[in-house]
Amino acid sequence: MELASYFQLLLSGITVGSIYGLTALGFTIIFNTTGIINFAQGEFVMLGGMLAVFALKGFKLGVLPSIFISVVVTTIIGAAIERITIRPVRGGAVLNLIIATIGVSIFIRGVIMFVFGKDTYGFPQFTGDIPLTFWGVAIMPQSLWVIAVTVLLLLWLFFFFKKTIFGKAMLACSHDRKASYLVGISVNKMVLASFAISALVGAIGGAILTPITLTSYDVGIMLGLKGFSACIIGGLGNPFGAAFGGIILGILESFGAGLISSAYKDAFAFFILLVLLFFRPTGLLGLSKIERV
Amino acid sequence: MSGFKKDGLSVFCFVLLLLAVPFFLTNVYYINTLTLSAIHAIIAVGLNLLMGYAGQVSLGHAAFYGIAAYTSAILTTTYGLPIPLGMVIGILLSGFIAYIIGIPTLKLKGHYLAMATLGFGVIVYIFFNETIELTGGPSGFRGVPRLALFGFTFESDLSYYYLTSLTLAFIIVLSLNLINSRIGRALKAIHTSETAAQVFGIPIAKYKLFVFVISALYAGLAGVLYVHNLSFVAPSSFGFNFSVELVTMVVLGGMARIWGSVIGAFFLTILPEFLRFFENIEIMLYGAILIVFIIFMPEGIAGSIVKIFAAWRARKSDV
Amino acid sequence: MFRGYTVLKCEGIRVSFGGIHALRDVNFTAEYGNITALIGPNGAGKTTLLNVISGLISPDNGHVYFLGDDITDLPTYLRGQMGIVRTFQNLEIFHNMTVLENVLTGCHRHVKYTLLDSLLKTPDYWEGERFCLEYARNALEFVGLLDKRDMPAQDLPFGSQRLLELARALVAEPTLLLLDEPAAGLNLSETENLGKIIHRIRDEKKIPIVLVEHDMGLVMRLSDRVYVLNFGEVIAQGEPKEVQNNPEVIAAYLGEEGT
Repeated sequence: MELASYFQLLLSGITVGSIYGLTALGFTIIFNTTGIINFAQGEFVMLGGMLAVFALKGFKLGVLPSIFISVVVTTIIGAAIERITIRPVRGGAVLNLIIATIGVSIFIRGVIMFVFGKDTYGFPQFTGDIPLTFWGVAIMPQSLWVIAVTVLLLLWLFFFFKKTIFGKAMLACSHDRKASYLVGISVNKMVLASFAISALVGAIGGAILTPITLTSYDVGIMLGLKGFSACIIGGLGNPFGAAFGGIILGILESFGAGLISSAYKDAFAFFILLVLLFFRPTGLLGLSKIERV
Repeated sequence: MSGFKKDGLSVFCFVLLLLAVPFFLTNVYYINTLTLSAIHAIIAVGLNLLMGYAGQVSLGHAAFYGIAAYTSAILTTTYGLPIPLGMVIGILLSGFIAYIIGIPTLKLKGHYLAMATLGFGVIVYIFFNETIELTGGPSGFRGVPRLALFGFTFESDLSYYYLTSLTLAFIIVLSLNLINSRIGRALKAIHTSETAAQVFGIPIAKYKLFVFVISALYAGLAGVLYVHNLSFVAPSSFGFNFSVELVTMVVLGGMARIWGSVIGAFFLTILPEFLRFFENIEIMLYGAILIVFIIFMPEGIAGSIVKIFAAWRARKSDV
Repeated sequence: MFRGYTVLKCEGIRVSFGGIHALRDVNFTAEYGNITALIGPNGAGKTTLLNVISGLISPDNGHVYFLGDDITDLPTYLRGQMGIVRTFQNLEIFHNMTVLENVLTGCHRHVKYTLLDSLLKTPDYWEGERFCLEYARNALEFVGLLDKRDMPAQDLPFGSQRLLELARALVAEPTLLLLDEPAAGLNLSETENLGKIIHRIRDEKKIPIVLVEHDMGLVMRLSDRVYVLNFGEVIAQGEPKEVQNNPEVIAAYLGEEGT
């Protein structure tokens, strides 16, 4: 295979991987603040795309306004989920929490399927669909948008958590909930915020990727799974690991599909997950905070 | 009445009920629905052992159901193996794969198994769809022989109904016996406080693995009963939606209540027959049931019945 | 086994969490026939040491010897099977079971009937259950909870839940009993009752006890030996009277009161 084709695979891997990274970041934010794995994370990404399609086609809005609305609505949904379904179960058994987030994930998926059916939808790329070519490689402009928006989001999140009071309060919560509570940080607010931010990040990811991969009621499961795998690759609980893991996963998946088999593309994420859980559950970078039984 | 005698009595009544039903419901369509309910109940009971007692979630149990079904189907049809052998191999394969997956994942905290089984279920589904020469791909695998044991072929739907319901009763007895033992207590202990369980000499990872494998074996048993009834398998029966349906059955019926899983399974299998538009709202409904029950009725239907009954007894004794 | 025989020996135990040194070079022994108390201000490391002994935490350095064997790397459940049993400061009763079932669970290490026995309800099963039941009844009677055996464990009042943990521990016939602040949250009469029970455990059942406690009265009344921890180090050890009058010990406690 020529070098250009490798580069092509690399690029499409990085593009999709960016979204895996954003999804993984969403997992990480909620996990760090609450200790829960939010099974509905993938659905936030799905909603970002589907609701944008709805705004675009249903209300005939432009692409960017549709995305804006879809992201806002998804963020609100994320917050609502925390308030309505997570908070009542938070103090109880871990098992109940897991079931609650699974239930939410299924319910969202079910509602979307009920309203939109099983079709796939898409919308146009932001700046048209003429690929840019150089050195034999064709890049879709949307890929550049995806990578650019992802980088911007990561920078914003970095700034938010390291420099703003609110963000630092959330980090404090993740290190020590009781201590945070004792210094006056409202843990409830932090948890709510973590869900809202994860929904926001996920929705943006879903919306910007839709022009490339299309969307349907069903995409949330695989995205969630891959986002989680990305978390494990980078070390659960580590935000850099999450983003890094997502990119790695995207690249591995792309090369796997291109070089080995495209039918089993979706299986790669899972194989990687299993292999890691077998041999190195603390992630490739070994930077996670999981507890062993 | 001692727990053991109570269990025995309830199983006895259950068996009587099952045997009597065909005399009232003579329509073979209803009988087949009940057969399917019993098959689902077998999986649900096993899944309940995992969820309600060991406190772990599996989002891929449809895969264990399917692996056994396909294995037995392929071995008995393509390779002409005797049916009992095909069935046993199918069931054991499900258990073995559960063992492999369980070893790394059960050492870690709850959500790891959930994610790993989710992914595993997806993988198996893709496998069933893609390996067309072996499994027939998306259009399914046909021509599976009808179940025959010791020379008797369960040709009629009624005979199959009796077979599966009696198998279910047997599984219930086995599960009740398991729970009413030091092993059952150990499992309940693990569910509540792993720390304390360890202190009393209970090897947590081993027990969790044990339950996970058992639940896969139950699903496998259901799978082989299913395939040799329908004579046909397709990947669509073993996807994520079914795994979710199974979890919903357990939550609805009541975790850590064997009878609850039976109730949940029968309810969710029979329900679609009454709701014609069910397919559209199916997924939404499962999600809603999971959310509502886990928040308001975590003990499920069976648990609520027990609570109401206990409250009624307490009030009677006050009078 | 005779009185004074070293049952447990901790040598050079060092534990750090992040930058915090929870335990530094702690040497600790417990002898057969004795109640060995472990006291110290809050945060001194007492529960951490208990966690090391029961295997819930691995020390960064040092060794734990039980009846002469090095158990430093042994997982908790194996220590449980050897009879190293504990109660918990924050109560870890099994709230999805009745009082009796809680105590029956404690019997786990004694009963060896297999899975097959359970499934088929063999004579071995019935024998094992009868054995467990008898032991459980005895333990419940010992702590005074026999009449409440069918109550859901979570419905018991707090003081009784503490006794339940004790009964559960007793039924395992421990070779070493670790009590983590068993009197915390108990009123005067409950504490007295507890004290009597602990004494009986030592004298009638001959079980060596390691007692972590804040209630000084209880500690001085019950213990044969006392170790005092402060900031992860043993600052004093000896008979209760000696330790009580040790100026360093007094300073450590007063220091805590001052802040």
